[in-house]
Amino acid sequence: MIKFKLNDADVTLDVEDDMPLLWALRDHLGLTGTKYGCGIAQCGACAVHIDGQPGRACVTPVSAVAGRTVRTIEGLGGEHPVQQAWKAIEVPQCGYCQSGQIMAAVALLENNPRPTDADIDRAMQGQLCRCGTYPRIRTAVHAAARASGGANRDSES
Amino acid sequence: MTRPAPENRGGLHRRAFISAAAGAGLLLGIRHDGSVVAAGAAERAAPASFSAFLQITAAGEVRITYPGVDMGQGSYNALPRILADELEADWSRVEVVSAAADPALVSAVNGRQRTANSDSVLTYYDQLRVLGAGAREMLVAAAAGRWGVSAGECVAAAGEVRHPASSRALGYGELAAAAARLSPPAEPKLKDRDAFRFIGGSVPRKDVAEKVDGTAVFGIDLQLPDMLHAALRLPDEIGAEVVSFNAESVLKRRGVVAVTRVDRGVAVIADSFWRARQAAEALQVEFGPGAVAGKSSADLRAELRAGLLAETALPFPDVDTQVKPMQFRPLSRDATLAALETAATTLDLEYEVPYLSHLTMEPPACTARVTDSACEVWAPHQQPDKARQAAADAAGLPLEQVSLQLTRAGGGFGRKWELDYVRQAVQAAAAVPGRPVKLCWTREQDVGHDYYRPGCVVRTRVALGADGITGMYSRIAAQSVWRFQDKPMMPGMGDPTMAALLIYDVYDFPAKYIDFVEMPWAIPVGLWRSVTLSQNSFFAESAIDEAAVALGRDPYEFRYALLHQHPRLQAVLQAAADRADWNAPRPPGSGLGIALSHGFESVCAIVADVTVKDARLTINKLVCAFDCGLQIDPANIRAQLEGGMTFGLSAALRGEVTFRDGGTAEKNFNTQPILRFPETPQFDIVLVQGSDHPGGAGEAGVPAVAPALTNAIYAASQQRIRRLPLERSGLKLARSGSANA
Repeated sequence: MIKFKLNDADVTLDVEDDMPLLWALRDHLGLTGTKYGCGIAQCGACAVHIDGQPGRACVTPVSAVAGRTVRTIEGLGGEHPVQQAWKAIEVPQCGYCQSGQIMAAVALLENNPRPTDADIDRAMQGQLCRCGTYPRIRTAVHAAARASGGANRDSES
Repeated sequence: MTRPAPENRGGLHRRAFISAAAGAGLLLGIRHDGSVVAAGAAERAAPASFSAFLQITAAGEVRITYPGVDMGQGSYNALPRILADELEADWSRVEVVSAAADPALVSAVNGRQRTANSDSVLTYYDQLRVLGAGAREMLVAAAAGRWGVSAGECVAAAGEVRHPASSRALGYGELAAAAARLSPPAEPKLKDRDAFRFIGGSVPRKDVAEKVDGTAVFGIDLQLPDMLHAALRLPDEIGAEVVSFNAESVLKRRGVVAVTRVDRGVAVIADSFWRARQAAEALQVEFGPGAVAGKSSADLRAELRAGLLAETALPFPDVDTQVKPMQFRPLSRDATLAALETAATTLDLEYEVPYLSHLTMEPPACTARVTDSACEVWAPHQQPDKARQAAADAAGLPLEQVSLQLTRAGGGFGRKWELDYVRQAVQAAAAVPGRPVKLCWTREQDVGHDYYRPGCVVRTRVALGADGITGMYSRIAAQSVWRFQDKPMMPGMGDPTMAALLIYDVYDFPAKYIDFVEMPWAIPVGLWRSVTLSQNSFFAESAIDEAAVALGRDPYEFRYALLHQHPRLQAVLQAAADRADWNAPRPPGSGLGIALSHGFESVCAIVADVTVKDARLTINKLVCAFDCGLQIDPANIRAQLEGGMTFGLSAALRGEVTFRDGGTAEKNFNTQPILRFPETPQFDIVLVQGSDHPGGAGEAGVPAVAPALTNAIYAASQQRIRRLPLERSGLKLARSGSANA
């Protein structure tokens, strides 16, 4: 039995220790907002927060989060300032990678409320988008920082 | 696809009649002849041929069924906007409904229910306007009748009918039932263009919230009671057949329920995807020989280049894409060869592009439930009509007993046009009757068993005189996408998906000749965002650029002059050059390159601004001028162009699938990388409107990126890149301009 805190609720799972957190979330806990894209920590579609830090659910064995706190896109509630910015800017195209993009952006802003373009580049470089929403993501991260009280040092592009 | 599009304008008879389904408000469809019809359950049960459903409920909800698949291209919002505009709907009360495969949802233009060729807007535009206008007139007539006034005294606006003289108003919901009992307008009057509210304006998209909070249901996300998961075991070599497998080798593993043969491999069914995948990898399977006989890219390349020298090749007609219907001009091989023989100067150029994978972020995924008498399918799919038929074939059931519901698609780009994963899901589900089975491909399987954009080599010979090009002969060697897609070939002619626009029809110079040498290989090939133009814009616009340089002409001015018969294209080219400040001096090591593409009833010109220093390429900016005619959703058009250019950049810079021992060397994003966030250059987009009718935007941003980039690299460094991807030439992308924007 593996126990951890998921989006503020206690969960207990009877699965193999080496099952990736991604598939435990999707197939055993019914949370499909976290996506499969590569399985090898290359694309960021599976980005979640583990104890507040960004992590890759596709390469994290579920046993590694025992006793820890996991937050997924479902845990943001839909009206998080980053999600509001994403909606205002209408960032998504197909939308598939956006859960991961948003989780990465939330982690960035929690660690750095006033990111520069270079900070955003660093934080988002592991998040692939095949539709090419990168410019709108940049705009939305700046907008979310502004809405949360962080002043931008750069102009938005 | 760039096959000749059917006639898609006018010709719609405005004859109309409307009836209603009791109790469900106003339910309307539109026939292929343009008549508005009732679309209730009774009408739909009969053999019907109408599309674009509209329902206005008694509560005033306006439900518009989007007939295609939402894969990020934006027509999910654009099509309802067109209808809602004519309807004078309250956009906040509009609900967009995702479609099932349904003969009643086919386009009147092509008779298909499918999402391809960037033509969703242009094949549904006329129908949607007439349907919206017809419904509006019904609602106005119902209100006028209620009030005992003439319809001319009433106006429809924002989801209600108003009678200004008496300050009365009734909502569409209150009028729906009465409207449904009325006779229809014979010829609904369409709005004047300057009265458009939603078309060309800014209204909130309907699909954003669910794509931001994680609740959007993609093909991979479907959850049903009692559902099982399937993973595939596919061969290392493309096309290798399963000889035998030992199910017992994995059936005792935790969660594993069944093992069954499916197209292209074996499916393992378990209670979670991960357990299925672990078992599929452990499964003992014997595969036969692969379809490409252990060949590697070097072998394929040698055969392609040998093909350029073949004695015989299939000619491709000179097609005039700018007139309707398309005109086929006579071939001029003899004149072209004569021009080459007598020319003062000739260029003999060889170009090459690699095989490419689609890399949709969501790999192929599909869910099916099969019983003796029914097959239900849930899929992200670009051709639901044929996918439903494929499911019926795989299940061995008549079509009437098969349903297919579309989900969101996590990218399509042509990969989700293919039927393989739908058939596999049905075959897997048939092994556990009554239980839904969700099939998901791994990324390694996606890259290793795609339907690739074929690799191609091209030889272009250019005859040059004092005044310009006097002849051009361009030959392409490649596999045929049409043949692999089982499309009828034009007798005696080369595959249009490979040969069309290899020399642009719009450039006016004498003696053009195109032919095609087909490689009979069994590598699966298919439609890849912008299809023909994805390779041929690179070939055509590189050769024109080289001709301009050889003649000592400015590449922009040269193209502009060659386009003298096409002022609409000239305007787009000029808009891009002006925006990029084409004639301004550039610092040493920097340069501009320009390229044009036309397709999907749109025109795109891109100017790349680059700096090349110490084998490092910096893309300072990509300027794009774009004309898709009437703009339904300008914000989405810009998003599609940014996305298309990003897609084109990934391919131009580092897109390449290579073959080794009959399989692909690349398997995942680590070995087949795509453009990353910090690498994205600054985009500067100018929208031009050169037509009152809408054209396509979903693919149009892709083709001109590569030639604009390589032409710019030449201008900056005098290094001419004729083979993609360009990072293969030793140039590496240094950084983008965006971080400094």
